[in-house]
Formats: sequence, structure tokens, C-alpha cells
Amino acid sequence: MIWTLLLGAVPLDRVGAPLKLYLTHEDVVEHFRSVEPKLAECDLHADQTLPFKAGMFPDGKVEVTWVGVEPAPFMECARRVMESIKSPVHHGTTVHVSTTLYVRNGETFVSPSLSIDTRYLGPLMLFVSGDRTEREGVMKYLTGTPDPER
Amino acid sequence: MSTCYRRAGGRGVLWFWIGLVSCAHRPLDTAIESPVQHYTVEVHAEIGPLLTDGESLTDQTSTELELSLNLSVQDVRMFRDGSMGKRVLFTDAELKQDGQVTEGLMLQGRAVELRTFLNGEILAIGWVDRIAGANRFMDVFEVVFPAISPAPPSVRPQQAVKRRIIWPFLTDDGLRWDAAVDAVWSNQGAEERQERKAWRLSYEGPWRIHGGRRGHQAVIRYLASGSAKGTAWFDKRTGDLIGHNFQWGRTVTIKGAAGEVSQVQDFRGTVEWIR
Repeated sequence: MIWTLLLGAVPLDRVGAPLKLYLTHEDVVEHFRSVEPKLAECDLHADQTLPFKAGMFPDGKVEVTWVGVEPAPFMECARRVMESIKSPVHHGTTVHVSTTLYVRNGETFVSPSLSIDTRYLGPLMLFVSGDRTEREGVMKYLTGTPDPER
Repeated sequence: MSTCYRRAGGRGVLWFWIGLVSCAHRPLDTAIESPVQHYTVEVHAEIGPLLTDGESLTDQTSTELELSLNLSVQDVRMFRDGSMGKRVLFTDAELKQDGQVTEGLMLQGRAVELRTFLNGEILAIGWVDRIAGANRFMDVFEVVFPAISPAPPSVRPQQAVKRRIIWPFLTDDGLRWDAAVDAVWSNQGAEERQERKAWRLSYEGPWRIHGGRRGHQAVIRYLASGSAKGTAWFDKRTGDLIGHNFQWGRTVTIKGAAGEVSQVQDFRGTVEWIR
């Protein structure tokens, strides 16, 4: 029992959480979770399924664009609310998010399975002049596949 | 019998309380505030072509790179093991290739967390993948990290002491390589540097890197070997880095399942403390 208690005192994460320098998937989900209650000020009488894209800028500014749906008063209100709430400030480039806003029975929620556009051109230790194409050529030569680091 | 029971029970309660106290919440790190140190870093790199079996893999020939950085370094947290978390912010960044400024360098405004022991030894570089790869290139210029945090041993004037310069390059998706310079340090004595009394320490030694990624699609191994030498100045009173001249070179070899590519990389650079 003593050993169990002592083991319980050992921290599971000995490294510590990383500094909040960039937005992670969890940060983005958490931001939209915090936005959901604020959408109550819009007219939530009709059930809706509204795909949208959001840009989360380094200074915390948020831009929302509806995707493939006709404009409606609720959407204007929801866009205004979502853009009025700053996202966490970060050191990366603008984070582009694709997700869906649902209105069901007077409640709003943003899909937790949102996707973030990534531009992954990860470490290689080699200097490869140019951008994605040249780099992918080297990766393909090394591995036989276009980019296994993805 | 009853006495025995009471004694055993007493010990149990004692151990219970010891266990409970040891479970008390202790945070893994503590936020701290310290002055921001500003540095300029200039690195001149001579980069060879990408070679496979002695032949060029691409049209890329030997090239010269000039990386100019302004860095702001600030201690932001202290960990339970006594190590420090330093935020390193790239306030300005410019890369020239063969004299031409490259467009689209994505370093300015980015930041990493350098976790070091108090002597500067690097334990981790948090978020390093955000400054690596195409248009960022700090996986190529990783020498900048030991250059701003070289971790010298305590060495008396005119003496030499062995101390490794090490750092890991670890991304959050499983890529890792470890770099080590088996440096021999010597103390060249005290002198004025930027109006501060400073110890002048020199080092030299072989530089080796090994690591890899074992992903679900392919195995890649990262290997490099070469040598490193330099001279660094440390404030005599505080131990802060004031300046660093360095000359490091390596031959990088990347081994994949389908092929192998190597490249010669020579770096010559300076770090200067501004304020």
C-alpha cells in the first residue's frame, strides 16, 4: 500500500506541458467550445448545419467564412459573435480550420472533429533549395514514397 | 498482543501520512520573470550538393548561405529538477543564398522553448519542428542552439577540461536525433568584452549526430559527423554568454529504405549579446 501511495506521487508527465507558443488541435477545439455559449444571443429556433472555415491569426483575430450555404440572418449573427471572441495569441502563421456549426433544439455546438490545414515540411537536416517540390523529390528518393514524415 | 497491534497500527498510520504528504501537489514547473537578453547571430554556411553514391541527386550545386538572426531570450519557468525554460523568440530573420535574399523565410515572429540546466546544457528544444524544414531551415542551422547556450565546464585559467556539448532534436511526432560534441575546453583568461569583464573559453572536439524515425511507412536514419571549435566569452560575475565565435562542420548522411543522401555542411558564425 505504501508503495502504491509513493508510486501515485510520481508525476506521470516528467517533462511538463510545452509552453503555449503555437495553437494545437486541442487549443482550437477548446476555443470553439468557449464560443458556443456566446452564440445563444443569435436566433436558435431553426435547426441548422453550417460548414465554415475559420482563420485564427497570430494576434488572436478570427475570421469566419461560411462554406456552400446561402446567407441568412442567423449566419451573420453567428459570424459576428465568433469573430468578436479572440483566439489565443500564438507565434505561428494563421491557423486555417475547417469545421461545422450545428444548431439543434436551441443548442449550438461546433463539431469536435474539426480539421486544421497543415503545411508539413518537416525536419530533414539536409539543405534543400526551393520549396515543397524539391524537398518531396529528396524524400521520395530516400523512402520510395512521397513524404513519409507527414 | 494488543500492544503489538497498537504498535503496528501506529506505524501504519505514520506511513499513511508519509504517503499522503508525498502525494501533495507539486507543480512540474514554476513561472518566473527575468530580463530579456537580446542577441544577434550571424552564420555563414557553405553547403555542398546533395550526393548519392558520389553523384548529385538534384541540380542543386554547392551554395553559400548567410543566416542573420536577432533573438530575444528570456527565462520563463523553472522546472522541479532545477532546469530553466527559456523562450527564444526570432525577432528578426533573414537568409541569403549566394548573396540573394531568399523570399518566404518563415522564422520571424516564431519562438521555441529552450530547456537548459543552469550551466546552459540543453535538455530539450520545445516546438523545434515549428522552425524546421523548408523555408525555416533550423534543422540545418541547429548549431545556433548550442551557439547561444554552449554549457562550458568550470575550468581554471590555462587549464583544459572535457565537457560534452549536447542537445536533442526531437519533434512531437517521433523524429529524434541527438547531437554531441566531445569538447575539450580551455580557459584563456579574463578580458574586457563589450565593457564587461569576461572569461574567454575555447573548445574543440569531434561532432557526432545519430537518430532516426521509425514511422509506420518507412524508417529513416539521420547520421552526421564532423568537428567543432570555437571561443566563447562569459560574464565573469553572472556567467551570462556575451559572445561566441564558432566554426563547426559536418557531413550529413540520411539513410532511407530506398536510398541514401549525403551533404557537406560547414558553418562559421558569431553570437553577440546586445543588451
